[in-house]
Amino acid sequence: MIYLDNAATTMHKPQQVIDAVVAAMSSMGNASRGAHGSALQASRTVYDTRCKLAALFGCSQPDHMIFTCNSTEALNIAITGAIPAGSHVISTDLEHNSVLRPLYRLQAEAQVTLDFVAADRQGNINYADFEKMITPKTSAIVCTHASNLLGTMVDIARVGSIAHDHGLLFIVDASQTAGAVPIDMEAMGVDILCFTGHKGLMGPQGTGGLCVRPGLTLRPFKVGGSGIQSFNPSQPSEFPACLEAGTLNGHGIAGLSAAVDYLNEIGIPAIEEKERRLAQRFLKGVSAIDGVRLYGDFSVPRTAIVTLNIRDYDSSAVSDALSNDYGIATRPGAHCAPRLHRALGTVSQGAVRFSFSWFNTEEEIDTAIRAVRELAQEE
Amino acid sequence: MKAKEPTLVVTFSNTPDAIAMEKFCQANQLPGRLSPIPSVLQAGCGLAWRAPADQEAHFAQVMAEGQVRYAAMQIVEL
Repeated sequence: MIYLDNAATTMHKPQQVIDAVVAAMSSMGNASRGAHGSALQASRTVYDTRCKLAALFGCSQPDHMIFTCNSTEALNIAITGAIPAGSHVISTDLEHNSVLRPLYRLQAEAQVTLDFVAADRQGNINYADFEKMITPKTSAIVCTHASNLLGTMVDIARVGSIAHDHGLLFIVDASQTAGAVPIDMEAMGVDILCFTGHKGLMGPQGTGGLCVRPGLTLRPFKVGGSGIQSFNPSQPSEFPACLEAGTLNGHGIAGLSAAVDYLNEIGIPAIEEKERRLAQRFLKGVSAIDGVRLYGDFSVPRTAIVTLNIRDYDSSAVSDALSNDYGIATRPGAHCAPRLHRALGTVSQGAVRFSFSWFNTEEEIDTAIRAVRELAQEE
Repeated sequence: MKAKEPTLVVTFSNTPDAIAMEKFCQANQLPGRLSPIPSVLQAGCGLAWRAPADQEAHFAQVMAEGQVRYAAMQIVEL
């Protein structure tokens, strides 16, 4: 199989990630629960991974690197924990449902009002719109670092500057960029950075987290066992326990730790460069094919995603043919990005997303180009 | 069970601070080990650093210099 669905999850993991998970599953106790050897080893692994991720994202205090099971959980913690009831929030049309649904729930249940910076037919946003939408009740800007549908990147340093000029909280969904492009949350003015471990970071599914700017307080999304302050009827207020109720995914975190080591060995800029080169090769190959319609603005910074349709074929039919006839894995449909599909005019057809990773090869890209060409020529 | 003896016990607010203490002690060649927190000190993290009681002043000085985060440091009969 040629796996080109890396924006959903990077299926090909470094061997050291797999080895680390297997080793942890035969030796790891429960982190923060006990002081015997295997429990301590788990605590050390979790701590080391916390430190590595904090360093990777420019979070100044490792105990403010909170583990979650994915971006969605991280975004729920951030959005429901930091946004006051009755306030106003600005987001964008580029968002995934992991941002949209928590916001819509606050709208329905906590009298939060929402405005969305519109995307045009190419998926671009106008940065001046953020400032225009700010009202005295605005409490936060929540936005993605890159669209999961098009790969279009948002200049989060620019948005962070707008947020902080107006005293607003800035929450970023880095699901598509963590591990794929360099991120420095402090330099970019990000207050809460939410990420998943199983995409660009190349770690196991069931891992992720959020980095919280020191000084910020969030109401816990869930409460329960913490391994500390057992006689306290409330969730402890100390980081990270305040936001980490329940046993962590220690086995997954061990794998994520190995994944970060792998990324650091190669260097994220080198990974970014290769993935973009592969995406450009694919783009160049398919853009000249009659009947192929590409989506997005390829003159702006992007992650390694190319999204297209073939004539008026339903995107699911194209993706199905790629899978069944060529062994190429892609993602059709709506990609949990309803607002952007509306902006692109692709609600009824969907779109076929090709997303590339460090482990893809030029030969695989060329095979995919040939497959698209053949499908576009069929009648 | 061995006879009780005075023991230096350093407690922490959270597990990351306890693991950081272990790394700090290893780096600075301070004696002791992580262990379950004595029940009499049942506030905070479930982990504590145990070391010989006669090291208290040394620990206090080195930990202050290293700006180590901890909840409390005391001598307990264990």
